[in-house]
Amino acid sequence: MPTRAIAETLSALRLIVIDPSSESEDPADDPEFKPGMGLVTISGGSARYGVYSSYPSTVERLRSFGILLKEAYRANSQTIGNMFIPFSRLGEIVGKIGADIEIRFGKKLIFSVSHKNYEKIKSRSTVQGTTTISGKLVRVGSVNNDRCVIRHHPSQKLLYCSVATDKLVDELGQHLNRDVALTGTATWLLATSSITNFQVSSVSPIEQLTLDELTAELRNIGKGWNKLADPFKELEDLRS
Amino acid sequence: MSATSRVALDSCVVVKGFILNGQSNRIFATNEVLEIIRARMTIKSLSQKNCVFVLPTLVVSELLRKDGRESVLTDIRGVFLPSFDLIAARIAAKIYPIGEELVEDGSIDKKSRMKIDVAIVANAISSGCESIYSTDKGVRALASRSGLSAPNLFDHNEDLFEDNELRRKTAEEFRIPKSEHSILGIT
Repeated sequence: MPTRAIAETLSALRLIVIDPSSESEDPADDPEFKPGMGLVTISGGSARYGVYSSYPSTVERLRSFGILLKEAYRANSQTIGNMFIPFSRLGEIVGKIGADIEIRFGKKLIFSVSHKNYEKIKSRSTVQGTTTISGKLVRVGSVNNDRCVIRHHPSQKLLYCSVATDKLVDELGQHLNRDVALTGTATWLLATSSITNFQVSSVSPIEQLTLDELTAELRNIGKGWNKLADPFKELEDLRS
Repeated sequence: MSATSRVALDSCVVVKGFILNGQSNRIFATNEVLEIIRARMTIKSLSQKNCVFVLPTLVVSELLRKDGRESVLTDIRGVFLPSFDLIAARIAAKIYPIGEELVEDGSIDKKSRMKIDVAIVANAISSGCESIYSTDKGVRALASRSGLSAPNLFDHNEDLFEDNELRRKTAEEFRIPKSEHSILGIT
């Protein structure tokens, strides 16, 4: 298992153990929860890692997560709620490494994430569609140059977005630290209507114009209104 | 309001506050100019607070209906044009019963109007607006019952000098006779 996948797994587990709603996008280190991971054994095509945590409720919370996962898999799509975020991270790791992740306490299985349960829960818990979001662009680029981070307006939380092309990354770079509108494909969590994933396809700045400039822009769009014999009557009849 | 507050504007406010000007074909009555002044004052105050103006999709459509310039939409600046997406549709479905109640109690006069109002309010909520400004009582009632703030247009500007200047300039722009300036609150 690559070191990066181990780090990402720990990060997802941290989100399960601490409150995921407060730090759903970029978990800060909780001083109470400092997990460590070390390779214990490799046998029969699987690697077993020992995890330690000083956080008192770690096992309890992982167990609750396991129960939630079972319920979400069996029936109700909405039950997983915010826990979809760490679950989806684990699901993505499973996809990358091509193996299931099992979390055990001693020998007893607490929960497992497989391609099958990930896909099933994902399809029930989320919905995809095209939209435009707005917020302040706070970071552009990554190791693979395929990401940007926006402080998404309604929640003010950081939203990590994927960016398809280098050209678009360059374009985004020109709007760093500014208010922008990003158009693309969003994945919404049905339970909370929050965006869990966003693939950017285009960017446009929301410029701070002077009132005179803004008036000129909008007058251009609604030019015809000044030609009407009675615009007030037209406004009244607009939705009749 | 925070520096990045989103404020949705209904068509009536955009038309009265931004679009109508002294070169309009119409000779406006004094009470109509007073409404224009209130809309302009509201927009000016919000703009001074660095609010980002949001135009719901259906509002854009209503602005364009009267010989609008679609070509400028491709590079419109200074406002946020949110999509009417799945979340907006979901919110619209959720607040639709409130709209039906408002038709029943007479706050909104027609069901057809209510459907448009529902879509506009849902779009404002889904795009994260804190408030919507409209001169339409039905829109305001629907918005406030759906959890969105829907204040009245401003009656005056806190800065008395600015207030008077805006009133005076607007009155002159719309050629309101001086004898009627007092109706517009001009001192």
